[in-house]
Amino acid sequence: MRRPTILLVEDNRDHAELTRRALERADIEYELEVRADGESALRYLFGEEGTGGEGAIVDLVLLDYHLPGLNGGDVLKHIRASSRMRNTPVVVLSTSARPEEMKESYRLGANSYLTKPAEWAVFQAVIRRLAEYWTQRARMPEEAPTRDAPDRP
Amino acid sequence: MLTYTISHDLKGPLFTITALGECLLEDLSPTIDERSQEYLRRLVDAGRHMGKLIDDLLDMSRAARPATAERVGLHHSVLIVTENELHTSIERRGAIVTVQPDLPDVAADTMRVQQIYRNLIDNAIKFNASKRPAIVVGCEGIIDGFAWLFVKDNGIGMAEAEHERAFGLFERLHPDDGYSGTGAGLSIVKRAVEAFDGRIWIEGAAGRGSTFHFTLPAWAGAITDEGAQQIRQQACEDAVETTHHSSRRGQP
Repeated sequence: MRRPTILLVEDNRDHAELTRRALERADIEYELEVRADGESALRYLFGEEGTGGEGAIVDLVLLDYHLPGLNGGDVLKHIRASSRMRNTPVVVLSTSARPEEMKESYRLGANSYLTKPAEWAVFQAVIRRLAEYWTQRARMPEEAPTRDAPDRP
Repeated sequence: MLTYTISHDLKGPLFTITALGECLLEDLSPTIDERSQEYLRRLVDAGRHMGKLIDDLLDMSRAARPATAERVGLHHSVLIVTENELHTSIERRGAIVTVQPDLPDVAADTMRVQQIYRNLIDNAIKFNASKRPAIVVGCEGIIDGFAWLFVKDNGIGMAEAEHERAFGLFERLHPDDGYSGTGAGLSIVKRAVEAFDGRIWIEGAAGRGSTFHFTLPAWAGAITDEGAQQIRQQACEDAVETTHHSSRRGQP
């Protein structure tokens, strides 16, 4: 069975390392791809980066909101505009708890918004649970039998 | 806005410092001596404290922003604070929070009103040496379009000379006696009240509890002069009534 692929888009290499470490505690087998800016993330997702022009298959995107160049919101717009990726789970990560930023992320189609908390243990636990939840949820429709549910009486 | 932007920019590196510090503690604790572990713990604690200071700066910046007034039900706002946000600390201290019924609606914004009550009630619990902190939240009446509100406690109080200082930024009147906090809470409250042209002041003395009085604009049209008079009378009667009987929290 194919391992789920998680794409982490994070320009801060320390935060990328911390997220990578938090994911190591997750109870899932996964492949992790890391990109440091929005442009290279889009190239990875939509082709032109050694994928024959078709783009990568990704099961979960962990997307930092504050990126140089294209920001997280711009990347999210591209993802949701793509018929192939419009249902791919995207979790926005940010050090900010600004209500405007949260609202904008959800308006653009984020599945979750995580404010990087002051406590490492909390961050680790939340990243782990989010990754477990979204990668397993993303795989459910493929594995579940596709027959119509019976009508309720 | 500058404070707001800078505060956000500071949180990124701070997350790196505290989280990497905790990772080092996880990785190295079995191999380094007790003193080195202690240094690492202090580094992480200092980082967390700095995080709280930054959060306070953010709250301060939000509290002082130009405000758009909307109708805010005080009773609902206080319940959100006592039942959700401060529930744990109220339960832990066995505090009794008495909320007078019929608190008026005010023209303010919900976030700031909750911030005001959150900080004042949290303060009343924190700076309180009583076995069972007792806090009364109420309204004295509507005067010249402003609701006169109060939060009264049986805490450690403060000398009259310190009343004005208490509202200073990061001002801690009890630095070394086990009362935690950054000292920004009352300063944030003052800015939030003043954002709606209200006033805030303290009554009380050292060892005799404190009453924080503040005013917020009453919701126009909601209360007539006659209604205000009724509220004043009712508030006095209810204050006596509820202190003895109802709306108590933290009872065994």
